[in-house]
Amino acid sequence: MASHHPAVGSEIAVDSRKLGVWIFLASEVIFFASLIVSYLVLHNRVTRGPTAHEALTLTIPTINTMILLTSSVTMVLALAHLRDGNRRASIAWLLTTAWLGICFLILKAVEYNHHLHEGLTPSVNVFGSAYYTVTGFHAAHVAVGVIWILSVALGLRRRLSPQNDVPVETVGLYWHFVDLVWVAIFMVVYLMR
Amino acid sequence: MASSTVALPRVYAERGLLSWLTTVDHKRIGILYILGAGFFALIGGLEALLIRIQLAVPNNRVLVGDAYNQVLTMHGTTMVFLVVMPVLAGLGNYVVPLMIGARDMAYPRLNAFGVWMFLLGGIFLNLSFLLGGAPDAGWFGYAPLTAKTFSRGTGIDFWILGLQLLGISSITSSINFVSTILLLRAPGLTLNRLPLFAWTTMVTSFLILFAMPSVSAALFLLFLDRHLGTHFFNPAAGGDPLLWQHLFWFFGHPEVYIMILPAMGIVSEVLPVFSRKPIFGYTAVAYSSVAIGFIGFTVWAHHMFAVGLPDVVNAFFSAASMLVAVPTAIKVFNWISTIWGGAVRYRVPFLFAAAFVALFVIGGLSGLFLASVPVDWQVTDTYFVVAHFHYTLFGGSMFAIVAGIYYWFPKITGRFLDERLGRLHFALQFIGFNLTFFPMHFLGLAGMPRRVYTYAAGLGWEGLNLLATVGAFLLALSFVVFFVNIARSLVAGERAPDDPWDGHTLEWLTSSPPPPYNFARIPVVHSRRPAWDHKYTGNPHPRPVAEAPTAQAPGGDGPEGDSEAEPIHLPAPSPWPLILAAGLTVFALGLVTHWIFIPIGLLLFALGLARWVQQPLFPEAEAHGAHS
Repeated sequence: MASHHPAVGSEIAVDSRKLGVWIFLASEVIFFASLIVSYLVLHNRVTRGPTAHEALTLTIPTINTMILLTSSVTMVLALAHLRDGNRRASIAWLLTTAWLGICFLILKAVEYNHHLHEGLTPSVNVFGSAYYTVTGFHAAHVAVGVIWILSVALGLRRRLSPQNDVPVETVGLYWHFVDLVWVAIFMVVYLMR
Repeated sequence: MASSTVALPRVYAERGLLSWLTTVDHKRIGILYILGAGFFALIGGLEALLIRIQLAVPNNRVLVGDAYNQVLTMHGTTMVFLVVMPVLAGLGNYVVPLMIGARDMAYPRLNAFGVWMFLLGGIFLNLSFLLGGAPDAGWFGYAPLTAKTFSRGTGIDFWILGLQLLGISSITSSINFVSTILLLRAPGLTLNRLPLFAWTTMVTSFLILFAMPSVSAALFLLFLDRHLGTHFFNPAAGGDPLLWQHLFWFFGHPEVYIMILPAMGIVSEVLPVFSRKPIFGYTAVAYSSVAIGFIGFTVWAHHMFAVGLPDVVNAFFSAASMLVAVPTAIKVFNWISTIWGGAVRYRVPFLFAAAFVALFVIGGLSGLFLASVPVDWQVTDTYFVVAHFHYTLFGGSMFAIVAGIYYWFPKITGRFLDERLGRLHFALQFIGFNLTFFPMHFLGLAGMPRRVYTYAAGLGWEGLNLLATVGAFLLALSFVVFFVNIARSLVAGERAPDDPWDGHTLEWLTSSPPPPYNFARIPVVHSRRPAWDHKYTGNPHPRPVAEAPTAQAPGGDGPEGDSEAEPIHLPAPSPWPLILAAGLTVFALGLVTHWIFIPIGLLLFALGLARWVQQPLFPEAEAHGAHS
């Protein structure tokens, strides 16, 4: 559509939907930075209950890291295939990406369940508060991403084309961002525990 | 056949309530923002009057204790989030697309969503008065006062969720402003020629984008503390009340520049037009806005000098705060130099803009006092601080906003505001403002604490407090005159031509009020003052006015301008932004009142989102898709 493209006079040639997502993600950086800083400030001030070192194990989060990193690759493949004119392959890769996101969420739920059995709750101590909040907001972003990917892959199926790849590219931007946030969380919360 | 393809934009319901509820026109959205802000200004103003009545004499019993705290909190919250920010967003919405020669904002439906989110968020916040008591912990909501232990009612929850709703509005409108200004400028309108109001609106949008998420995160944490038993701000369990202050002021200080920068932009438009001169030092004014934006993120802890941060931290934030004076002073000198030697026309917009410069300098100077740690320790939490920020936000932002309304009113309505009533309004507002807030400097120096609902007799504070209350009533009277002026002008105001002030920006080249599509053909820009080029240099390019687009357009011999001979696409009206905003508001209501609203809200939200995504932006999308 004409309106998605910059006017003649603009020096900046980028689709408006793409620019909008970029700006939104820049704003999201501050949101997650605020949460992660809060975690860093508070997580060692445990007065009772399990500490980060006692409660966190690396197995599930490491698998989850690999899942999310793989899902970024499948997202790139979805866009590449769409641009090559192979819509069916593109949609298959989108669905794979969404499935990997769902796997991440399932494993995250398993991990939470494990924590709860060990006595780590959001209210047991300040580490629990910060841990569930940071990872919970990230998981919510993954869930939104899964819904977004599915609505592009299933809802827009027929309209996707090499000329109309922006819906895939924008959801891809968001997905890669959510991945990156996970990498930060993996380092700050799990590796530095 | 270029001319015949200039088709009339498709016409929809153009009148009536439904057309406003479904509008995606940036001009109507701008008007909705301004009207909404005007309504909330009445509420916030009444709250201010209540405060001044209570403080008129010592030991007064009009508004005491918790009632006073509620009114004080809502006055601050209302004026910041429901008056100054939205009225600036409204003027920006109306004017910026016209100034840059665009037909609309980059995302028209997101724009509509923003204004509904603001209006519903504002109503939501004020519903708290009726549903168990308003928030009462100050607009800054310091922890642990906001904890469940100390604030048992739902007031704080209304405040938390209300600010989240308003934050969504601000974030979406900021994304829209940045995209619009970066992508939709007319041919030739480089960033180096961008009108200064558009410049400051863009910088402000970046400030909102990078500041708002910090308070948004903090509000989430507070909500979890209150309802899930987390301990972020609970010192007994290792939490940290100062974390709240850091997260809040990381937003809160950029917020004051969010409120002042567009105001500075308005003044930078008004002063040159009424001084009959180009702005002095355009580049310096534009870049100093960017500098203020950057430095604005490094000064937040000057709100926390009294909490016991290490000396070296205080020293850093003190120095950074003083540094803000440099780009600010650059602007002030540029404004003065703009007026200097000009053929000044003392019309009402000029009076308010000039008063802005004077009053804002006073507020800036008292700000320098407060940036100095030892001085701050003396006067922190006293009326000196109240005097300071009212000089910047009322003497500053509000005077500039009023200047902007007098300036653009003829463009928006096609009628002038009355000049004589305007002068009366100015005199009352100027005198009333100074009577109210200048004495507060002395009250603060004499030790009168802010945020406290009364004071004892015999401390030497009686006279100045009474004076301030008298001033507040004059100020209220000035706004009565203002509203009367607006109402009279809407009905019987003098008709305004397209270009009543001999302006130099593009909005003065289209009709008053502009047609829905703004410009029949997108204008071509050759300098920072395209309208003056057109009027005074015999510019050969076709006049970029809004003629009836069905008429035979001038032949194809014009240069760049005629490349626009393509159909005008206007986005279709849509009810879904309103439904989406209503869904979020009802959901929030469910979180604080009855759970039944939660599923209703989610349902509305899902419905709005799904239908929004399915509705094409342009009704002709399928038909014309192939052309682009």
